[in-house]
Amino acid sequence: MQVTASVAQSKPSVTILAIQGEISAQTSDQFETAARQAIELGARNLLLDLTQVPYVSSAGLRSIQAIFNLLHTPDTEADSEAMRKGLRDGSFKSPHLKLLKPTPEVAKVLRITGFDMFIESYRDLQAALSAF
Amino acid sequence: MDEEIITRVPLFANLPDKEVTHLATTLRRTGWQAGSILFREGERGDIFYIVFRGSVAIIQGLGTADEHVLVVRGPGEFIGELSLLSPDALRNGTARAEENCLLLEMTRAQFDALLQRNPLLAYEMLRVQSTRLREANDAAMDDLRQHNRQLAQAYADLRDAQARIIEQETFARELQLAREIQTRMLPSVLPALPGYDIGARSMPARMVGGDFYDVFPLDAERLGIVIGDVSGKGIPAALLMGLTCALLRVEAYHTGSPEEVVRNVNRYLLERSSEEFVTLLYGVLYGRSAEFSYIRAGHELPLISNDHVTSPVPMGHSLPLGLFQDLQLDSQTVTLPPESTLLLYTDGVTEAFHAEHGMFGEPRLREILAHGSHDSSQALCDRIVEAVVSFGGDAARLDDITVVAVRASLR
Repeated sequence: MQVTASVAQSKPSVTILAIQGEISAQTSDQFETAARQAIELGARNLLLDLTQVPYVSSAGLRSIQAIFNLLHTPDTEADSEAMRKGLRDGSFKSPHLKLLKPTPEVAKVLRITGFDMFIESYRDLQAALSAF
Repeated sequence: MDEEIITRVPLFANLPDKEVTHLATTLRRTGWQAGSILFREGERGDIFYIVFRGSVAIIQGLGTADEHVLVVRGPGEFIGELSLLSPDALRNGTARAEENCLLLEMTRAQFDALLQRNPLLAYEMLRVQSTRLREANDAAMDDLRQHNRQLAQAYADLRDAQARIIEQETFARELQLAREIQTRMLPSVLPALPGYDIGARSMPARMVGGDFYDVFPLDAERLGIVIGDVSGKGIPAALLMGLTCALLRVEAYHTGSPEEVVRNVNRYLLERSSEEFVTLLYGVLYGRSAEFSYIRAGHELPLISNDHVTSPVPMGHSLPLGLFQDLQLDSQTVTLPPESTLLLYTDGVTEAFHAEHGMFGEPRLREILAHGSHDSSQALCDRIVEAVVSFGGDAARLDDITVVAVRASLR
Protein backbone atom coordinates (compact mmCIF):
# COMPACT_ATOMS: atom_id res chain seq x y z
CA MET A 1 0.00 0.00 0.00
CA GLN A 2 1.28 3.46 -0.91
CA VAL A 3 0.20 6.91 0.16
CA THR A 4 1.22 9.99 -1.82
CA ALA A 5 0.58 13.46 -0.44
CA SER A 6 0.17 16.61 -2.50
CA VAL A 7 -1.17 20.06 -1.78
CA ALA A 8 -3.85 21.39 -4.10
CA GLN A 9 -3.79 24.99 -5.32
CA SER A 10 -7.10 25.94 -3.81
CA LYS A 11 -8.64 28.15 -1.18
CA PRO A 12 -8.72 26.99 1.50
CA SER A 13 -5.60 24.86 1.13
CA VAL A 14 -6.33 21.13 0.83
CA THR A 15 -3.87 18.26 1.15
CA ILE A 16 -4.72 15.36 -1.10
CA LEU A 17 -3.69 11.87 0.04
CA ALA A 18 -3.72 9.46 -2.90
CA ILE A 19 -3.91 5.91 -1.57
CA GLN A 20 -3.01 2.83 -3.62
CA GLY A 21 -4.14 -0.52 -2.23
CA GLU A 22 -6.57 -1.71 0.41
CA ILE A 23 -6.89 -0.08 3.82
CA SER A 24 -7.13 -3.08 6.14
CA ALA A 25 -5.62 -4.37 9.37
CA GLN A 26 -2.18 -4.80 7.76
CA THR A 27 -2.06 -1.39 6.09
CA SER A 28 -4.19 0.94 8.22
CA ASP A 29 -1.22 1.93 10.43
CA GLN A 30 0.74 3.03 7.39
CA PHE A 31 -2.19 5.07 6.12
CA GLU A 32 -2.82 6.67 9.52
CA THR A 33 0.85 7.60 9.89
CA ALA A 34 0.86 9.33 6.50
CA ALA A 35 -2.24 11.32 7.43
CA ARG A 36 -0.82 12.27 10.83
CA GLN A 37 2.38 13.44 9.16
CA ALA A 38 0.39 15.66 6.78
CA ILE A 39 -1.49 17.16 9.73
CA GLU A 40 1.75 17.74 11.63
CA LEU A 41 3.08 19.58 8.60
CA GLY A 42 0.10 21.90 8.86
CA ALA A 43 -2.68 20.31 6.84
CA ARG A 44 -6.12 21.36 8.14
CA ASN A 45 -8.13 19.92 5.28
CA LEU A 46 -7.65 16.43 3.91
CA LEU A 47 -9.07 14.87 0.77
CA LEU A 48 -8.62 11.09 0.62
CA ASP A 49 -8.36 9.94 -2.98
CA LEU A 50 -9.81 6.42 -2.90
CA THR A 51 -9.78 5.83 -6.66
CA GLN A 52 -7.27 3.01 -6.24
CA VAL A 53 -8.57 1.56 -2.99
CA PRO A 54 -10.43 -1.70 -3.66
CA TYR A 55 -11.38 -2.39 -0.03
CA VAL A 56 -11.64 -0.72 3.38
CA SER A 57 -12.05 -2.96 6.44
CA SER A 58 -13.27 -1.98 9.90
CA ALA A 59 -9.61 -1.35 10.82
CA GLY A 60 -9.49 1.08 7.89
CA LEU A 61 -12.64 2.81 9.14
CA ARG A 62 -11.06 3.10 12.57
CA SER A 63 -8.10 4.91 11.00
CA ILE A 64 -10.42 7.22 9.10
CA GLN A 65 -12.22 7.91 12.38
CA ALA A 66 -8.90 8.67 14.11
CA ILE A 67 -8.02 11.16 11.38
CA PHE A 68 -11.48 12.72 11.62
CA ASN A 69 -10.91 13.22 15.36
CA LEU A 70 -7.52 14.84 14.72
CA LEU A 71 -9.05 17.31 12.27
CA HIS A 72 -12.05 18.01 14.45
CA THR A 73 -11.00 19.26 17.82
CA PRO A 74 -13.88 21.66 18.55
CA ASP A 75 -12.23 24.81 19.82
CA THR A 76 -15.24 26.26 21.49
CA GLU A 77 -18.21 24.89 23.35
CA ALA A 78 -20.41 26.33 20.61
CA ASP A 79 -18.59 24.29 17.93
CA SER A 80 -18.92 21.14 19.99
CA GLU A 81 -22.67 21.67 20.50
CA ALA A 82 -23.20 22.47 16.82
CA MET A 83 -21.42 19.30 15.78
CA ARG A 84 -23.44 17.22 18.24
CA LYS A 85 -26.70 18.69 16.99
CA GLY A 86 -25.65 18.07 13.42
CA LEU A 87 -24.72 14.48 14.16
CA ARG A 88 -28.06 13.98 15.91
CA ASP A 89 -30.12 15.10 12.97
CA GLY A 90 -27.75 13.85 10.31
CA SER A 91 -26.97 17.32 8.96
CA PHE A 92 -23.35 17.46 10.07
CA LYS A 93 -20.86 16.95 7.25
CA SER A 94 -17.18 17.18 8.06
CA PRO A 95 -15.74 20.41 6.66
CA HIS A 96 -12.17 19.14 7.01
CA LEU A 97 -12.24 15.55 5.75
CA LYS A 98 -13.67 14.43 2.43
CA LEU A 99 -13.40 11.43 0.12
CA LEU A 100 -12.77 11.27 -3.61
CA LYS A 101 -14.13 8.56 -5.91
CA PRO A 102 -14.69 5.64 -3.54
CA THR A 103 -15.24 2.39 -5.46
CA PRO A 104 -18.72 0.82 -5.30
CA GLU A 105 -17.47 -1.73 -2.74
CA VAL A 106 -16.04 0.96 -0.49
CA ALA A 107 -19.09 3.21 -0.99
CA LYS A 108 -21.28 0.34 0.18
CA VAL A 109 -19.22 -0.11 3.36
CA LEU A 110 -19.45 3.64 4.01
CA ARG A 111 -23.23 3.48 3.59
CA ILE A 112 -23.83 0.43 5.81
CA THR A 113 -21.64 1.78 8.62
CA GLY A 114 -23.05 5.25 8.26
CA PHE A 115 -19.66 6.88 7.70
CA ASP A 116 -21.17 8.49 4.60
CA MET A 117 -23.40 10.51 6.90
CA PHE A 118 -20.68 12.69 8.32
CA ILE A 119 -17.92 12.31 5.70
CA GLU A 120 -18.93 13.32 2.17
CA SER A 121 -17.74 11.66 -1.03
CA TYR A 122 -17.27 13.26 -4.43
CA ARG A 123 -16.92 11.83 -7.93
CA ASP A 124 -14.97 14.82 -9.23
CA LEU A 125 -11.76 16.44 -7.97
CA GLN A 126 -12.85 20.05 -8.61
CA ALA A 127 -16.20 19.52 -6.94
CA ALA A 128 -14.41 17.99 -3.94
CA LEU A 129 -11.94 20.87 -3.64
CA SER A 130 -14.63 23.54 -3.91
CA ALA A 131 -16.65 21.83 -1.19
CA PHE A 132 -14.03 22.61 1.49
CA MET B 1 78.59 -11.12 16.33
CA ASP B 2 77.68 -14.48 17.68
CA GLU B 3 79.35 -13.58 20.95
CA GLU B 4 77.09 -10.56 21.32
CA ILE B 5 74.01 -12.66 20.80
CA ILE B 6 75.23 -15.30 23.20
CA THR B 7 75.75 -12.78 25.99
CA ARG B 8 72.27 -11.41 25.35
CA VAL B 9 70.91 -14.73 26.54
CA PRO B 10 70.34 -14.06 30.25
CA LEU B 11 71.56 -17.54 31.04
CA PHE B 12 74.99 -16.80 29.57
CA ALA B 13 75.21 -13.11 30.47
CA ASN B 14 77.72 -13.69 33.24
CA LEU B 15 79.92 -16.26 31.50
CA PRO B 16 83.60 -15.40 31.24
CA ASP B 17 84.64 -14.06 27.81
CA LYS B 18 86.73 -17.15 27.09
CA GLU B 19 83.64 -19.31 27.50
CA VAL B 20 81.51 -17.09 25.29
CA THR B 21 84.12 -17.24 22.51
CA HIS B 22 84.29 -21.00 22.87
CA LEU B 23 80.53 -21.26 22.51
CA ALA B 24 80.52 -18.92 19.53
CA THR B 25 82.87 -21.22 17.69
CA THR B 26 81.40 -24.55 18.76
CA LEU B 27 77.63 -23.92 18.58
CA ARG B 28 76.10 -24.99 15.33
CA ARG B 29 74.32 -22.31 13.27
CA THR B 30 71.17 -23.48 11.50
CA GLY B 31 68.87 -21.62 9.10
CA TRP B 32 65.09 -22.17 9.11
CA GLN B 33 62.51 -21.10 6.57
CA ALA B 34 59.36 -19.35 7.71
CA GLY B 35 56.75 -21.93 8.69
CA SER B 36 59.18 -24.76 9.31
CA ILE B 37 58.85 -26.79 12.50
CA LEU B 38 61.82 -27.03 14.87
CA PHE B 39 60.24 -29.65 17.11
CA ARG B 40 56.76 -30.90 17.99
CA GLU B 41 54.76 -30.89 21.20
CA GLY B 42 55.15 -34.16 23.10
CA GLU B 43 58.42 -35.17 21.48
CA ARG B 44 61.57 -35.95 23.44
CA GLY B 45 64.19 -33.34 22.72
CA ASP B 46 67.79 -32.69 23.54
CA ILE B 47 68.57 -29.54 21.60
CA PHE B 48 68.46 -26.04 23.03
CA TYR B 49 68.12 -23.12 20.60
CA ILE B 50 69.21 -19.53 20.79
CA VAL B 51 67.49 -17.21 18.34
CA PHE B 52 70.13 -15.25 16.42
CA ARG B 53 67.85 -13.73 13.82
CA GLY B 54 64.06 -13.97 13.22
CA SER B 55 61.34 -15.23 15.55
CA VAL B 56 60.01 -18.58 16.67
CA ALA B 57 56.52 -19.24 18.06
CA ILE B 58 55.76 -21.89 20.66
CA ILE B 59 52.30 -23.25 19.91
CA GLN B 60 50.16 -25.57 21.95
CA GLY B 61 47.46 -27.76 20.45
CA LEU B 62 48.62 -27.09 16.87
CA GLY B 63 45.94 -28.19 14.41
CA THR B 64 43.21 -28.61 17.02
CA ALA B 65 40.34 -26.34 18.12
CA ASP B 66 42.40 -25.33 21.15
CA GLU B 67 45.42 -24.20 19.15
CA HIS B 68 47.01 -21.13 20.67
CA VAL B 69 50.41 -19.43 20.69
CA LEU B 70 52.08 -19.61 24.09
CA VAL B 71 54.87 -17.20 23.31
CA VAL B 72 57.03 -15.85 20.49
CA ARG B 73 60.80 -15.73 21.00
CA GLY B 74 63.02 -13.22 19.17
CA PRO B 75 66.78 -12.50 18.83
CA GLY B 76 68.65 -13.14 22.05
CA GLU B 77 65.92 -15.37 23.46
CA PHE B 78 66.08 -19.13 23.76
CA ILE B 79 63.87 -22.14 23.32
CA GLY B 80 63.75 -25.72 24.48
CA GLU B 81 65.68 -25.27 27.68
CA LEU B 82 63.58 -27.84 29.55
CA SER B 83 65.18 -30.64 27.62
CA LEU B 84 68.55 -29.49 28.84
CA LEU B 85 67.54 -29.91 32.45
CA SER B 86 65.86 -33.22 32.13
CA PRO B 87 66.40 -35.95 29.55
CA ASP B 88 62.86 -37.22 30.02
CA ALA B 89 61.19 -33.88 29.55
CA LEU B 90 58.85 -33.78 26.60
CA ARG B 91 58.53 -30.68 24.49
CA ASN B 92 55.58 -28.66 25.96
CA GLY B 93 54.77 -27.01 22.67
CA THR B 94 55.51 -27.06 18.94
CA ALA B 95 58.21 -24.61 17.84
CA ARG B 96 57.53 -23.00 14.46
CA ALA B 97 59.65 -20.40 12.70
CA GLU B 98 57.44 -17.36 12.13
CA GLU B 99 59.88 -15.90 9.63
CA ASN B 100 63.20 -16.95 8.10
CA CYS B 101 65.43 -17.60 11.11
CA LEU B 102 69.01 -18.14 12.07
CA LEU B 103 69.43 -20.19 15.22
CA LEU B 104 72.34 -21.38 17.34
CA GLU B 105 71.96 -24.93 18.55
CA MET B 106 73.36 -26.43 21.69
CA THR B 107 73.09 -30.14 22.41
CA ARG B 108 72.64 -31.55 25.88
CA ALA B 109 76.13 -32.94 25.72
CA GLN B 110 77.48 -29.50 24.97
CA PHE B 111 75.47 -28.01 27.80
CA ASP B 112 76.57 -30.65 30.29
CA ALA B 113 80.18 -29.85 29.42
CA LEU B 114 79.47 -26.11 29.83
CA LEU B 115 77.84 -26.75 33.21
CA GLN B 116 80.81 -28.74 34.41
CA ARG B 117 83.08 -25.84 33.48
CA ASN B 118 80.68 -23.27 35.01
CA PRO B 119 78.73 -24.83 37.90
CA LEU B 120 77.04 -21.49 38.86
CA LEU B 121 75.13 -21.70 35.61
CA ALA B 122 72.85 -24.18 37.34
CA TYR B 123 71.41 -21.38 39.48
CA GLU B 124 70.67 -19.33 36.38
CA MET B 125 68.91 -22.29 34.89
CA LEU B 126 66.74 -22.71 37.97
CA ARG B 127 65.81 -19.05 37.98
CA VAL B 128 64.88 -19.15 34.33
CA GLN B 129 62.89 -22.33 34.93
CA SER B 130 60.76 -20.91 37.66
CA THR B 131 59.98 -17.89 35.47
CA ARG B 132 59.00 -20.21 32.66
CA LEU B 133 56.80 -22.30 34.95
CA ARG B 134 55.07 -19.23 36.27
CA GLU B 135 54.41 -17.99 32.72
CA ALA B 136 52.95 -21.35 31.75
CA ASN B 137 50.81 -21.43 34.84
CA ASP B 138 49.45 -17.92 34.19
CA ALA B 139 48.63 -18.85 30.62
CA ALA B 140 46.79 -21.95 31.80
CA MET B 141 44.89 -19.93 34.37
CA ASP B 142 43.86 -17.33 31.75
CA ASP B 143 42.72 -20.13 29.53
CA LEU B 144 40.63 -21.64 32.30
CA ARG B 145 39.13 -18.28 33.19
CA GLN B 146 38.09 -17.69 29.60
CA HIS B 147 36.50 -21.10 29.34
CA ASN B 148 34.63 -20.43 32.55
CA ARG B 149 33.34 -17.14 31.18
CA GLN B 150 32.15 -18.87 28.02
CA LEU B 151 30.40 -21.54 30.03
CA ALA B 152 28.74 -18.96 32.27
CA GLN B 153 27.50 -17.08 29.20
CA ALA B 154 26.19 -20.24 27.60
CA TYR B 155 24.39 -21.09 30.81
CA ALA B 156 22.85 -17.60 31.01
CA ASP B 157 21.74 -17.84 27.37
CA LEU B 158 20.16 -21.21 28.00
CA ARG B 159 18.34 -19.90 31.06
CA ASP B 160 17.00 -16.93 29.06
CA ALA B 161 15.83 -19.19 26.26
CA GLN B 162 14.12 -21.43 28.77
CA ALA B 163 12.43 -18.43 30.42
CA ARG B 164 11.16 -17.30 27.04
CA ILE B 165 9.76 -20.73 26.25
CA ILE B 166 7.98 -20.85 29.60
CA GLU B 167 6.59 -17.35 28.98
CA GLN B 168 5.30 -18.36 25.57
CA GLU B 169 3.75 -21.53 26.93
CA THR B 170 2.10 -19.55 29.72
CA PHE B 171 0.77 -17.06 27.22
CA ALA B 172 -0.50 -19.82 24.94
CA ARG B 173 -2.24 -21.46 27.90
CA GLU B 174 -3.81 -18.19 28.97
CA LEU B 175 -4.96 -17.51 25.45
CA GLN B 176 -6.54 -20.96 25.33
CA LEU B 177 -8.31 -20.23 28.64
CA ALA B 178 -9.47 -16.86 27.30
CA ARG B 179 -10.87 -18.61 24.25
CA GLU B 180 -12.78 -21.05 26.45
CA ILE B 181 -14.18 -18.23 28.56
CA GLN B 182 -15.20 -16.30 25.49
CA THR B 183 -16.88 -19.35 23.97
CA ARG B 184 -18.90 -19.74 27.18
CA MET B 185 -19.99 -16.11 26.96
CA LEU B 186 -21.93 -16.95 23.83
CA PRO B 187 -24.96 -19.14 24.46
CA SER B 188 -24.35 -22.58 23.00
CA VAL B 189 -27.84 -23.79 23.88
CA LEU B 190 -30.27 -21.32 22.41
CA PRO B 191 -33.60 -20.62 24.09
CA ALA B 192 -36.62 -22.04 22.35
CA LEU B 193 -39.58 -20.07 21.09
CA PRO B 194 -42.50 -22.15 19.90
CA GLY B 195 -42.79 -21.99 16.14
CA TYR B 196 -39.19 -20.97 15.53
CA ASP B 197 -35.93 -22.80 14.90
CA ILE B 198 -32.90 -20.78 15.91
CA GLY B 199 -29.26 -21.47 15.20
CA ALA B 200 -26.00 -19.59 15.64
CA ARG B 201 -22.27 -20.07 15.08
CA SER B 202 -19.27 -17.87 15.78
CA MET B 203 -15.65 -18.49 14.87
CA PRO B 204 -12.91 -16.04 15.85
CA ALA B 205 -10.11 -15.42 13.36
CA ARG B 206 -7.51 -15.85 16.10
CA MET B 207 -7.77 -17.54 19.50
CA VAL B 208 -10.15 -14.81 20.67
CA GLY B 209 -12.18 -12.34 18.62
CA GLY B 210 -14.45 -9.32 18.54
CA ASP B 211 -17.66 -10.85 17.16
CA PHE B 212 -20.57 -11.82 19.34
CA TYR B 213 -24.19 -12.94 19.23
CA ASP B 214 -26.80 -13.41 21.91
CA VAL B 215 -30.29 -14.89 22.09
CA PHE B 216 -32.30 -14.54 25.28
CA PRO B 217 -35.97 -14.71 26.29
CA LEU B 218 -37.48 -11.43 27.39
CA ASP B 219 -40.68 -13.14 28.35
CA ALA B 220 -42.77 -16.15 27.25
CA GLU B 221 -43.55 -14.57 23.89
CA ARG B 222 -40.52 -12.51 23.00
CA LEU B 223 -36.91 -13.24 22.23
CA GLY B 224 -34.05 -10.77 22.21
CA ILE B 225 -31.58 -11.42 19.36
CA VAL B 226 -28.24 -9.67 19.02
CA ILE B 227 -25.32 -9.76 16.64
CA GLY B 228 -22.27 -7.53 17.03
CA ASP B 229 -18.79 -6.89 15.70
CA VAL B 230 -16.04 -4.97 17.48
CA SER B 231 -13.64 -3.38 14.98
CA GLY B 232 -10.30 -5.14 15.01
CA LYS B 233 -9.33 -8.68 15.98
CA GLY B 234 -7.60 -10.57 18.76
CA ILE B 235 -7.29 -9.59 22.40
CA PRO B 236 -8.22 -5.87 22.23
CA ALA B 237 -11.41 -6.65 20.31
CA ALA B 238 -12.19 -9.60 22.61
CA LEU B 239 -12.08 -7.48 25.74
CA LEU B 240 -14.50 -4.95 24.30
CA MET B 241 -16.69 -7.78 22.98
CA GLY B 242 -17.13 -9.17 26.49
CA LEU B 243 -18.09 -5.77 27.83
CA THR B 244 -20.55 -4.94 25.07
CA CYS B 245 -22.17 -8.36 25.13
CA ALA B 246 -22.78 -8.17 28.87
CA LEU B 247 -23.91 -4.53 28.81
CA LEU B 248 -26.44 -5.19 26.12
CA ARG B 249 -28.07 -8.14 27.82
CA VAL B 250 -28.35 -6.33 31.15
CA GLU B 251 -29.83 -3.26 29.45
CA ALA B 252 -32.25 -5.43 27.50
CA TYR B 253 -33.65 -6.93 30.70
CA HIS B 254 -34.13 -3.56 32.36
CA THR B 255 -34.87 -1.08 29.63
CA GLY B 256 -37.95 -0.67 27.51
CA SER B 257 -37.26 -0.16 23.85
CA PRO B 258 -34.41 -1.59 21.75
CA GLU B 259 -33.52 1.98 20.80
CA GLU B 260 -33.03 3.00 24.43
CA VAL B 261 -31.04 -0.19 25.05
CA VAL B 262 -28.64 0.55 22.23
CA ARG B 263 -28.26 4.25 23.14
CA ASN B 264 -27.46 3.29 26.74
CA VAL B 265 -24.85 0.79 25.63
CA ASN B 266 -23.32 3.46 23.40
CA ARG B 267 -23.06 5.84 26.36
CA TYR B 268 -21.28 3.24 28.49
CA LEU B 269 -18.89 2.40 25.67
CA LEU B 270 -18.00 6.07 25.22
CA GLU B 271 -17.14 6.27 28.92
CA ARG B 272 -14.58 3.52 28.40
CA SER B 273 -12.97 5.62 25.72
CA SER B 274 -11.20 3.37 23.30
CA GLU B 275 -10.13 3.53 19.71
CA GLU B 276 -12.54 0.78 18.69
CA PHE B 277 -16.13 1.03 17.55
CA VAL B 278 -18.83 -1.65 17.58
CA THR B 279 -21.39 -2.40 14.88
CA LEU B 280 -24.50 -4.00 16.26
CA LEU B 281 -27.96 -5.25 15.47
CA TYR B 282 -30.36 -5.81 18.34
CA GLY B 283 -33.93 -6.86 17.77
CA VAL B 284 -36.94 -8.34 19.49
CA LEU B 285 -38.75 -11.25 17.86
CA TYR B 286 -42.45 -11.37 18.72
CA GLY B 287 -43.44 -15.03 18.66
CA ARG B 288 -47.12 -14.63 17.89
CA SER B 289 -46.93 -12.04 15.12
CA ALA B 290 -43.55 -13.11 13.65
CA GLU B 291 -42.50 -9.48 13.78
CA PHE B 292 -38.86 -8.66 14.25
CA SER B 293 -38.32 -5.10 15.50
CA TYR B 294 -34.70 -4.20 15.40
CA ILE B 295 -32.17 -1.42 15.79
CA ARG B 296 -29.21 -1.47 13.42
CA ALA B 297 -26.07 0.48 14.33
CA GLY B 298 -23.68 0.42 11.39
CA HIS B 299 -24.09 -3.34 11.04
CA GLU B 300 -24.69 -5.48 7.95
CA LEU B 301 -28.33 -5.55 6.83
CA PRO B 302 -30.22 -8.71 7.79
CA LEU B 303 -31.27 -11.06 5.00
CA ILE B 304 -34.71 -12.62 4.76
CA SER B 305 -34.93 -15.64 2.55
CA ASN B 306 -38.29 -17.00 1.52
CA ASP B 307 -38.87 -19.71 -1.07
CA HIS B 308 -35.35 -19.40 -2.50
CA VAL B 309 -35.71 -15.65 -2.88
CA THR B 310 -33.89 -13.19 -0.66
CA SER B 311 -35.78 -9.99 -0.16
CA PRO B 312 -34.12 -6.73 0.82
CA VAL B 313 -34.97 -5.03 4.08
CA PRO B 314 -35.53 -1.29 4.26
CA MET B 315 -32.48 0.69 5.23
CA GLY B 316 -32.13 3.84 7.27
CA HIS B 317 -29.03 5.74 8.29
CA SER B 318 -27.07 4.61 11.31
CA LEU B 319 -23.65 4.81 12.92
CA PRO B 320 -21.70 2.23 14.90
CA LEU B 321 -21.43 2.51 18.67
CA GLY B 322 -18.46 4.03 20.40
CA LEU B 323 -17.90 6.95 18.03
CA PHE B 324 -20.21 9.76 19.00
CA GLN B 325 -22.46 10.55 21.91
CA ASP B 326 -25.29 11.45 19.57
CA LEU B 327 -26.24 8.63 17.36
CA GLN B 328 -28.43 8.02 14.38
CA LEU B 329 -29.90 4.54 14.52
CA ASP B 330 -31.69 2.53 11.86
CA SER B 331 -34.98 1.35 13.36
CA GLN B 332 -37.09 -1.16 11.39
CA THR B 333 -39.78 -3.76 11.83
CA VAL B 334 -40.04 -6.68 9.43
CA THR B 335 -42.44 -9.58 9.43
CA LEU B 336 -41.11 -13.07 8.82
CA PRO B 337 -43.31 -14.97 6.36
CA PRO B 338 -43.98 -18.65 7.22
CA GLU B 339 -41.05 -20.92 6.29
CA SER B 340 -38.80 -17.94 5.82
CA THR B 341 -35.34 -17.60 7.29
CA LEU B 342 -33.90 -14.46 8.85
CA LEU B 343 -30.12 -14.36 8.66
CA LEU B 344 -27.86 -12.05 10.65
CA TYR B 345 -24.15 -12.08 9.90
CA THR B 346 -20.92 -10.16 10.42
CA ASP B 347 -18.67 -8.76 7.69
CA GLY B 348 -16.16 -11.55 8.24
CA VAL B 349 -18.55 -13.68 6.15
CA THR B 350 -18.93 -11.49 3.09
CA GLU B 351 -15.46 -9.96 3.20
CA ALA B 352 -13.52 -13.23 3.43
CA PHE B 353 -10.94 -12.95 0.71
CA HIS B 354 -9.28 -15.34 -1.70
CA ALA B 355 -6.36 -14.17 -3.84
CA GLU B 356 -7.90 -15.56 -7.03
CA HIS B 357 -11.65 -15.59 -6.39
CA GLY B 358 -11.82 -12.22 -4.67
CA MET B 359 -14.36 -11.72 -1.90
CA PHE B 360 -16.87 -14.30 -0.68
CA GLY B 361 -19.53 -11.61 -1.11
CA GLU B 362 -23.27 -11.40 -0.57
CA PRO B 363 -24.26 -13.35 -3.73
CA ARG B 364 -22.51 -16.51 -2.44
CA LEU B 365 -24.18 -16.08 0.94
CA ARG B 366 -27.61 -15.65 -0.63
CA GLU B 367 -27.06 -18.80 -2.66
CA ILE B 368 -26.30 -20.88 0.41
CA LEU B 369 -29.34 -19.38 2.08
CA ALA B 370 -31.56 -20.14 -0.92
CA HIS B 371 -30.45 -23.79 -0.98
CA GLY B 372 -30.72 -24.26 2.75
CA SER B 373 -34.50 -24.22 3.13
CA HIS B 374 -34.64 -27.84 4.30
CA ASP B 375 -31.84 -27.60 6.81
CA SER B 376 -32.21 -26.80 10.45
CA SER B 377 -31.08 -23.31 11.33
CA GLN B 378 -28.05 -24.67 13.14
CA ALA B 379 -27.04 -26.79 10.14
CA LEU B 380 -27.43 -23.73 7.93
CA CYS B 381 -25.18 -21.66 10.19
CA ASP B 382 -22.57 -24.41 10.28
CA ARG B 383 -22.66 -24.74 6.51
CA ILE B 384 -22.14 -21.00 5.99
CA VAL B 385 -19.18 -20.89 8.37
CA GLU B 386 -17.57 -23.94 6.74
CA ALA B 387 -18.11 -22.46 3.27
CA VAL B 388 -16.37 -19.24 4.31
CA VAL B 389 -13.47 -21.05 5.96
CA SER B 390 -12.85 -23.30 2.96
CA PHE B 391 -13.21 -20.34 0.59
CA GLY B 392 -10.74 -18.12 2.36
CA GLY B 393 -7.40 -19.12 0.86
CA ASP B 394 -5.71 -16.05 2.30
CA ALA B 395 -5.61 -16.93 5.97
CA ALA B 396 -4.26 -13.53 6.88
CA ARG B 397 -7.42 -11.88 5.68
CA LEU B 398 -9.85 -14.16 7.51
CA ASP B 399 -11.84 -12.06 10.00
CA ASP B 400 -14.10 -13.21 12.86
CA ILE B 401 -17.15 -15.00 11.38
CA THR B 402 -20.58 -15.02 13.00
CA VAL B 403 -24.05 -16.02 11.78
CA VAL B 404 -27.46 -16.23 13.47
CA ALA B 405 -30.38 -17.84 11.66
CA VAL B 406 -34.05 -17.76 12.66
CA ARG B 407 -36.54 -19.91 10.80
CA ALA B 408 -40.25 -19.33 11.14
CA SER B 409 -42.36 -22.48 10.85
CA LEU B 410 -45.63 -22.90 9.04
CA ARG B 411 -48.50 -21.19 10.82
